[in-house]
Amino acid sequence: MTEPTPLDDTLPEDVAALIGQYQYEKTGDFPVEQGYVWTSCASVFNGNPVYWDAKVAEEVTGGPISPPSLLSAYARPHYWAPGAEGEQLSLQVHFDLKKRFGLPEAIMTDNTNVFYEPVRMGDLIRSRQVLKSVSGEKRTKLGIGRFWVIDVEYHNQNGELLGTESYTGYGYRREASA
Amino acid sequence: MTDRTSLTYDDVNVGDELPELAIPLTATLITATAIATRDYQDVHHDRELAQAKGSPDIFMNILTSNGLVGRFVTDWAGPETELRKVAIRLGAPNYPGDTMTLTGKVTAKTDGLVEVAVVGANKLGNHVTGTVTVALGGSK
Repeated sequence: MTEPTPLDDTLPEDVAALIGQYQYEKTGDFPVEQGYVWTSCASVFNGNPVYWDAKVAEEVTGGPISPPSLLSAYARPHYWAPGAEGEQLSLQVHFDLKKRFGLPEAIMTDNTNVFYEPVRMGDLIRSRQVLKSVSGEKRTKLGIGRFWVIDVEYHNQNGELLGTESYTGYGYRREASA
Repeated sequence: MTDRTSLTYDDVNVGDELPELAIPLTATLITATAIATRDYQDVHHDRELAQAKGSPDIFMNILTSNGLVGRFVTDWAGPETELRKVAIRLGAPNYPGDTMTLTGKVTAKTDGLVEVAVVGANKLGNHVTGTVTVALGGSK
C-alpha cells in the first residue's frame, strides 16, 4: 500500500478509552482435534510429518501438535450456532471499529504471530483481544479510513501462553470515482 | 519411511537462499483455506459479493498467507524446526488464476534462532513480505 495521506487526527473519547482494555475474553467452541489439523494441513499442502505421523510427533514434540498458525482459527466462533443471533464474527474488536466509524470495507495489512507453548490435541483455547491503537483519518488508494492495531492473546486450559497475535487493519469507505 | 531430515543451526549461514516454492492460486485453494481457518468473510469465497465490494475476484485471507509462509520455511528446515515468530505484511492480493512464488533468504543467526526474510510474489507484485524466526532442532 502506498503511504497514506493524513486527513484528521482526532480520536473519539469512547474509542480512546478502549485502548489497552482486554475485551471479548472467551474459550473456543471445540477442543483442538486431529481431524481438524489434517484438514487444515491438507488445505495448504503442508506435509510436515510432525502433523501427520504420530510416531514422529511423539519423538520430536512429545505427542501430536497443531500447526501454531491455526491458533486463531481455534478461537473463532462457529459461523452459526443454535440460539445465536446474527452472524458470529471473529476478531470482534475489528468489526466494532468498522461499525463505530461507519466504515463498510476493511482489509488486514499486517499480521505478526509469536508462538510459545505448543498447541496439543484436546487443548481448549482461550483468547482475549486488546485494542492497541487507532489512527486518525487517512486517505489511501482504497478510500478514506483509519488504521488500527489489535492484539490477541491465546492461552490453553492450564493458563499457559500459547501465542500472541497482532493485526493491523484498515477500515475504509470508497470514494466516488471522478 | 517418513523423511525426518532437519537442518541444524550449524548447517545454516546468513545469506543462504531457500528453494523457491510456486503455489498455483486456484479458487479452490483460496476458498478451502479460508474455510479451514474458519474465516467466512464473503470476499474469500463469493466472487459476486467480492466484486460488489470493489474487488475483481475473491482473494486469499491473511491467515492463509501466514500459514503458507510458515510452511515454506519449515518445508526447507525440516520437521524438527520450531516456528517461533511469523511477521508478515500484505500487498498485492492473491486472486485465482495467478501463481504466488515464495522466495527466502537467511538474514540473521542469533542465540540459536534463525531469521528468514520471505517474499511471496504474484503477477501484480509482492503479495506478502515478512520474516520468520525459527529454532532449528534437527540433527543430520
